Amino acid sequence: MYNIIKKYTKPEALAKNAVVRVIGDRGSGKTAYMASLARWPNADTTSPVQSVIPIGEAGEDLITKAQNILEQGLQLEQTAMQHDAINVQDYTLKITLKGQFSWKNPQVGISQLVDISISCKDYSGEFFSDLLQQSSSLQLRNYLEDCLQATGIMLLVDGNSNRKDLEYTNSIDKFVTGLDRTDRDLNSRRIALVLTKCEQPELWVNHHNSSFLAHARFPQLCQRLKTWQQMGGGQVDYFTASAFGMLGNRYPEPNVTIISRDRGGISAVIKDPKRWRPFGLVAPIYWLCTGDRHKELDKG
Amino acid sequence: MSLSLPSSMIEIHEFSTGILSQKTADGGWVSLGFTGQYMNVTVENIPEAIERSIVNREFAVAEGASRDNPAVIGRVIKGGDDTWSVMAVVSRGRDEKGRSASMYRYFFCHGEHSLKDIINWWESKRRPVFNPLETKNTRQSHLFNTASISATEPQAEALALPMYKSEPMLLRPEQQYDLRTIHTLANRKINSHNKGELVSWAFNVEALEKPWRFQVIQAASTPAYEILKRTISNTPQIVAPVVIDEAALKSAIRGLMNSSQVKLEFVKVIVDALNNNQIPTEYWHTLFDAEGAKTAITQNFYSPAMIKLVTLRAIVIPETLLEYISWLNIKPDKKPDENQTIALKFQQEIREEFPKEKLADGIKSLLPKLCNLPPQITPKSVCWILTYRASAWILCSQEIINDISSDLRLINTYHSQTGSYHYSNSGTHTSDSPKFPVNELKCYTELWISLINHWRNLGNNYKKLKKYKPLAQLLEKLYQRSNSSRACELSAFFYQVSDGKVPRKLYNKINQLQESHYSPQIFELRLEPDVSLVESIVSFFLKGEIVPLNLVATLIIAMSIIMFFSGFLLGSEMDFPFLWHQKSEDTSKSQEKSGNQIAEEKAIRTAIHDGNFNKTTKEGVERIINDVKNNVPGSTKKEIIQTINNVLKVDMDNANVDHQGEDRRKAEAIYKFQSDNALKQDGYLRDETIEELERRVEEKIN
Repeated sequence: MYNIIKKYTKPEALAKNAVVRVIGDRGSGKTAYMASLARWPNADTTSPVQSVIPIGEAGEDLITKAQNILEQGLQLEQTAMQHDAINVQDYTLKITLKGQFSWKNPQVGISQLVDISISCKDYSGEFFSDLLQQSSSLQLRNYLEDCLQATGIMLLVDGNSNRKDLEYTNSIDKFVTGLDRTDRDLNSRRIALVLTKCEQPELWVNHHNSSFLAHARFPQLCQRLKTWQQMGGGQVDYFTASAFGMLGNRYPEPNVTIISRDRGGISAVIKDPKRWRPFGLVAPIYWLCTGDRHKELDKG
Repeated sequence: MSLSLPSSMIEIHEFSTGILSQKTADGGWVSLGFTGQYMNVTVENIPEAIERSIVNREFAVAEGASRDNPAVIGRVIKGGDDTWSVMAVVSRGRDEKGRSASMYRYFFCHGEHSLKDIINWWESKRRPVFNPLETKNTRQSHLFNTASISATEPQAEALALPMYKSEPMLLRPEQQYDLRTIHTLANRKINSHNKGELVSWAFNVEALEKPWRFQVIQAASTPAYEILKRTISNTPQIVAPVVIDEAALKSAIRGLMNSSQVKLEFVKVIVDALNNNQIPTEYWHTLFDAEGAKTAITQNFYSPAMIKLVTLRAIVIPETLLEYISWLNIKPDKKPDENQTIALKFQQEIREEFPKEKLADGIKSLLPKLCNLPPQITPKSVCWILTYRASAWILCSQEIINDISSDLRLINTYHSQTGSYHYSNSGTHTSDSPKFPVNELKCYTELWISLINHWRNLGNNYKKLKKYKPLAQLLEKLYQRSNSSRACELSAFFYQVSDGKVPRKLYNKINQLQESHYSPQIFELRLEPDVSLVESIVSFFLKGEIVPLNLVATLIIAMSIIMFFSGFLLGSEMDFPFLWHQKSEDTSKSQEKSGNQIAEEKAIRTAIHDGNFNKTTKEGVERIINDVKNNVPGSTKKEIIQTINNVLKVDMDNANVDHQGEDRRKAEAIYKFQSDNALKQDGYLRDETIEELERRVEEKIN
């Protein structure tokens, strides 16, 4: 009995990890998401996230990008499309957070701290917008084989690009069928659909209700993901996030200056870098690692 | 490419970053995304050396640093027998969302001395930059008559610049020189240093990813000058050797750590690099640390990728093996935990590809630490890593035994050929004898310094080299696992060196091996058996020594008591050995039965009269069946039971468990197994006995 108690209350942090591929349209905010997560600026002391530590050279590159470009109120460059997926930067982040009780992962709840770590490749947007359409391309096969290593897929969609719902559905359809045909071992995966740039007022008002917001903005995409889940491909869940966050608490406004807006969504830079505090970035990663939603993280 | 061109004609090819583009109303263009391929390529195949150089970021300007006024980068690249002169023109492009990106247009030409011709041609064509609207195909290379341009002298002022510094020559923005001058400066710089470098320069740049890979850099602006200056002064201590395809090596490491299935081509890239003597250990450290090895160790961070990374590091950099063992928290008596299982599976998958000597180097780095006072690692741990069936280092266990043996032979030969010799810690020898051939030693010199110094006094009982006892214990364990007679001899040798006596079992075995009627010798060192108190007393009698009366009286009483109790316990089966010192094989066998037999009988009786014996045995067998089934896919219950029976040499089938005689046979067999493997001897099938038996069964089935 003593041993059982000891086993479940051991002081060291519990470790959970996931191998992730971040996919999504060009300009959906994939690199900004990763850079913002690695930088973790102006951390909220009440947040369950204790620390975010980038591991290795690639992780440090993210911090440099965040400091030299985002914090200067500039726009990140486009992520170049690599010919071979092996050359895509692989970011490793270790995130330490307070545990929460859950019936699915009881030991996670009793342990005081949980270490979640991700090894995450930030694919260039062209993978999602162009390459997936070229079904016989060797390059596509190379990328899909690289995706087989992943236990989780983070599909980032600019929440303001709802007019591209059909195009996204088409791409994700190609993606899941391509993955299915490449994977001999029939591994089950988790796909987190993350609506980004949710600091925009029309998204912000519903950002706590992420599933509702995703279904309302991208009904066809959500339907296709649901079908994939029903056919046993894996699990799907919905999240909202903003890499740049809000300014103010009682009368919040987006901490962004919009540069352009079209049917593909918005592109923007940080308005006030000193008050830069992103939201919703860790929740999808926690879910990809544990299969469980973290209530405190969901609060943003 | 054209076959016969006049000598003054050169053919310049080009290719550009591949994008999808859209023409804008003002006649310009915006990018609609990268294609991941090159476009406007005027050659069938872009030379691989050029592609690798690009992948290695040797032309890369740092993100956010390309400017509207193009930067130009020139470089000579060698690949196999070919040499290429390559010039990249980097300008800033934008996509439809307003985001910028660096767009590259590369021009190249065969040969080492064509960079200035490319400059001349480029300037004569009014400096073309990246332009997606200007399409090119494979027939549209540029022919250029080098004689058409009259030679212009480089700017004289620049030629007065000092060339002695080995770091890149960084030019201030106010020192604006033209491309030809920059090229000449780079040429002069490599000639003055003559280190086999190839020309490389950067013109009008804001920031470079690898500024230390250039001879001359012209900064585009004052802030750029400051940034570049800072980057150059912070140049990593260890940069990639020029001969290395760093990107390929990094990809291979990443590919191995992040993939669930091992791709052997990645392992091959690493093994090839390992065989390249130009790569120093420090560089390997920077490669592994760049992926997070150091952080993983200091922060106790265990993800499957990190475990694989640190495992790979322990193989590639043998000196890190000790750190690896303690990081993985290896406990030889316990079953591998989740992290260790990942590490072992990975080791098993890659081990065959690595040279055995490299693996042996890791173990050799542990030996001095094993023999340190106090030891930094236990013989049990080293034995585990050398004999655990999934361990990579199992492949080199024989190599280690051979190398230790070879070193001892070398030391012995040296001492038999020369007079007295003293090897000091500083590596200098202090007598007139020839220098000890340190380079011929296969293990680390520090391991053998004491041995070399005291070799001639090893037989004297007053000089015991205690530090070698862990080595003796390690070799004894290796002998038990592998039954290697050489390990047995070496173990006995080091027991003699450290304790002045050799455990009885080893002693008897060597006696058997050497078939001598005298005390066995190894490297001219006479072995002395470990003698128990009773045995030494008996030997006194038989040698007719005069002993005090009170001692005789005590002995007689002690012997009577022992005889009485042993007779009581064993009845007529008792067989006392008295004549061990004659060293015949028969007597040595009977000695083994001596006091041990009493303990054995006692343990077996306790075991079989204990109501739990059957249950424990049954559970033990079931546990082994389950574990082996899990660990060795495809093994059947029948096969496992059969193998258990073979190892223990008794029928352990559960159907017959109730019979009294059966119980005794089983307990005896288990006891024998425990005693042969230096386990706790109680006749029960539990704990470490199960683990050891499991290991044996798995080995046999495999």
